[in-house]
Amino acid sequence: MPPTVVGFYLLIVMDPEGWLGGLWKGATGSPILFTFAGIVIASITYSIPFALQPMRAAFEKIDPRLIESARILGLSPPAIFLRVILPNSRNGIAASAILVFLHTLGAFGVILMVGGSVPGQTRVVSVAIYEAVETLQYGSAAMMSLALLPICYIFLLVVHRLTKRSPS
Amino acid sequence: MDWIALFLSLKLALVATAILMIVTAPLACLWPCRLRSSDFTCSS
Repeated sequence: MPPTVVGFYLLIVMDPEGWLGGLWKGATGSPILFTFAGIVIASITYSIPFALQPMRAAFEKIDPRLIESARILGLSPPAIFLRVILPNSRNGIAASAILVFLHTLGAFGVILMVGGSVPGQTRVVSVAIYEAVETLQYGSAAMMSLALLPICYIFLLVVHRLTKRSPS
Repeated sequence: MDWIALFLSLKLALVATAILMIVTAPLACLWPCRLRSSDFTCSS
């Protein structure tokens, strides 16, 4: 789904009249829209597929005999998850975490729809770059873009190495 | 250069990633139904 479409639906749901916004306001007394908590929820919602797919792939590659052995040895399902499944799929989980991190770092449409551009609250770097370009401050936009490049490159390199080394 | 925006982006990415990993890892694991079923070959 396009980020702006997701952002629009989240805007409706997180409005103080919406179910999530109403629930949040009832619990905290303040609206969730245009707050840091709001953009965290929006980012999580938008990044769920990016987290689930690599993790699912990693879990499905685990030898079922390992799980069967653990169960025969008397481990409970949570213990199997923590002591057998997680250690055997750590590369997939790490790759998933890095993909979500990078995806959230570059998120723009959803953040702008749900968070707007409140300095110090919801004005993330992608929104700041957009605003700098809009106001013809190309130097500032270039500096912020340049700051993001090495971060993204290093993390992508790590993902590449993790997925390449994955034994499964 | 807006350092606050850069810091906020990193903070947002870290928080969202941490929450997603904690919540989705068990869910993704249950998806192939290996843990909830006695049939260990039901991952397909």
